[in-house]
Amino acid sequence: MTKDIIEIDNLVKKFGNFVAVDNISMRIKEGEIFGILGPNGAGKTTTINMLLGLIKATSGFIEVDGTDINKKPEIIKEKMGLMTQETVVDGDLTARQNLEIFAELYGMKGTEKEKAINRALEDAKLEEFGDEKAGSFSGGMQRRLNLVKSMIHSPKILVLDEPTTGLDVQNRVDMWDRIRRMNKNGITIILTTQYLEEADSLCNRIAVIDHGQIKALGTPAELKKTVSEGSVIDISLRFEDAENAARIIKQKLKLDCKVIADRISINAGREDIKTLTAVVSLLEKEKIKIIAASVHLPTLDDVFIKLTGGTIRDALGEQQSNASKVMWRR
Amino acid sequence: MSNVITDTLGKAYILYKRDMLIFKSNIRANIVRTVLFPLIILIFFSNIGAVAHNVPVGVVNEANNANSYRFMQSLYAASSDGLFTVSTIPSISQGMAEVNSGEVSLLLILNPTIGAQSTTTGILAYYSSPDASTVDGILPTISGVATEYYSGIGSKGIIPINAKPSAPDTEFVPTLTSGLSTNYEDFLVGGVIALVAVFGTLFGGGFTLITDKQLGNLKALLITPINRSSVMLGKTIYTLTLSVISTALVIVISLFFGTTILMGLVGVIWIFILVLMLTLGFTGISLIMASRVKKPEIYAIFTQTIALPLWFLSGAFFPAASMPTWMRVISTVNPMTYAVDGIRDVMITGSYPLSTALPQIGILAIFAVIMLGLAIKLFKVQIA
Repeated sequence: MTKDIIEIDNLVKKFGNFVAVDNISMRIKEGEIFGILGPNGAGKTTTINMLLGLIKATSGFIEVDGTDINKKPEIIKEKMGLMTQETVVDGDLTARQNLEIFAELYGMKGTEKEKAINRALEDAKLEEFGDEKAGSFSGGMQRRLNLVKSMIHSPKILVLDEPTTGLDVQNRVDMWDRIRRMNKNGITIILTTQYLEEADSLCNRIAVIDHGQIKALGTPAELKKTVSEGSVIDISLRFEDAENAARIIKQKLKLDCKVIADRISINAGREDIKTLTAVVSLLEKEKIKIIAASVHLPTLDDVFIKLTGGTIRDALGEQQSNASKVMWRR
Repeated sequence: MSNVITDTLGKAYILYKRDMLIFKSNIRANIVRTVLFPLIILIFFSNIGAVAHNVPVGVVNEANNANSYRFMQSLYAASSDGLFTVSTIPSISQGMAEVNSGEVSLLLILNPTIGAQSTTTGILAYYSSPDASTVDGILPTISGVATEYYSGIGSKGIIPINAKPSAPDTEFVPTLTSGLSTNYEDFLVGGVIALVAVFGTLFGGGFTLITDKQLGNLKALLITPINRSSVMLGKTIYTLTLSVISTALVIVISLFFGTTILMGLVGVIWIFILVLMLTLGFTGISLIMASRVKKPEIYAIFTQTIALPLWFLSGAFFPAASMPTWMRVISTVNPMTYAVDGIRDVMITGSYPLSTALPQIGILAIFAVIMLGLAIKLFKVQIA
């Protein structure tokens, strides 16, 4: 049995009257990739900032690798690395200088420092560009430099805050590879992302956070099971028909279904094909036009919809404006 | 404890090194920016308004004796450095007319008593009030020549035409009359040094702090085992370095413009001391602003709103003595005034005794301690 590397108990963070993080407790195991999902403003970044010692919790307890964050933050900082959504490199400095500054901030000197820098440049496939200014690099190169810079001190835990946002497909796949490789080398990874398929394919376990609370926590498979034991049926309709169709399906077939804009999502259980035929014939009888129909195993999208009541992007806009109001009040 | 201090200093140095590397990588732009500003001010301001440059001086020689001719010769000799030009005018009435029409800025009438050590004034000086500031610039030189002939054209001798009744006594401004060569350019250089240092400060550590914050660099730095004093210290040293560089550049430029520093090398050292003390205080202000404000634009507006009025009221442009009372009050509590005064003493007056230096530097030190203290207290980094 693997040990818990991070313990978070009853963590609360308030900004004035706004509760950004509302009594969160969770355990992150050593060596796992742990995903934190949630709409923007849900409390992900606030939780991570507390974990990194950037802001102080209003109340609650965080222990990283056996160290209480309030007692010895500097020990914890040595063990953690962060890569944010924005690419943070000094464009006016060379790749080597970028790495050097951080190596020195982590207290490295002499050959140890040189070794770490050379290893990092090699990792990032930037050996030939070590003495070029980072500002002249392509987006993908800067991102790789950013990642190895976050890893220069060989942390035990790496926090990746939306690491693939804004990357093209090649660079995204490359980033996933890197994350998996680092994880194989024993690094615990905490990942926040907006891409649910990314979380699905990478994470061992996922916590879904909304309104500062944990709505669900488990492996992707466990989370999907909460939506349906079997499959999910999606029926696309004309927008104006959707509500009506859902009502009829609930009434006549006694099925659990949700309306998302012009689409109905039905929990089909194990009887997927049978249910699909029933639904289709019912809607045809009611003269409701079906645009498309599909049967699929539940995805994290379905989990997210079930838990937060909208697609991730719907929630994003709304929460964003709430978040900015809060900032303003501060 | 000593470990903590070594660590703080060490990390501060790493951050300082980073800022300097960034500065160095844009060295050309940074130097041009630093040089351009004082250059423009010196070129434009020293050539408009109260410039003492080829000021027309008319002389009516009523004495026609040996003393008066010798005085004239000395006057011609003194005019050779381009401060003023001398012409003779046959009669007092014509002279008066020329003063009033502005053909000459200053009219000197040489009485027969010139050089006779008589109680009667030997030389009378007339000028009209529109020319007052110009005349102020050349009076000390002419006064110097006159003194050789025991005929000081003291304030009594000066009767401005169309001037306010009290003008004769107040027209003399100690800072202007104290040195030998007091053209406006020299007068301005002291103020420009202070200005460039302060603006360099505002665009130094505070500014890089706020861009670091905006670009996410600050967050990246703060998750390393570093304490916040290191960040502040690093930024402060960086700012001081910038102000030393910009002061050196301004001094070189002003020497090129023909300014002299009467106290020589010792004077240069004094200037650096004064500038550093002033910069420390403004570093405090810039750090407070930078830790509170989110955007560089807003930061620039705020800091300039503070710095520009302080500069205008420091006597950098015109002597504080010529300001209205309410402005003079602000000028007295304005730390920049003391830096400008000190620099000017060093450059123009040519003497900066400890009795003047200690209070001035003391005031700047108090300002620095208060501002840096506030900065430490209020320093709060919002990483968003």
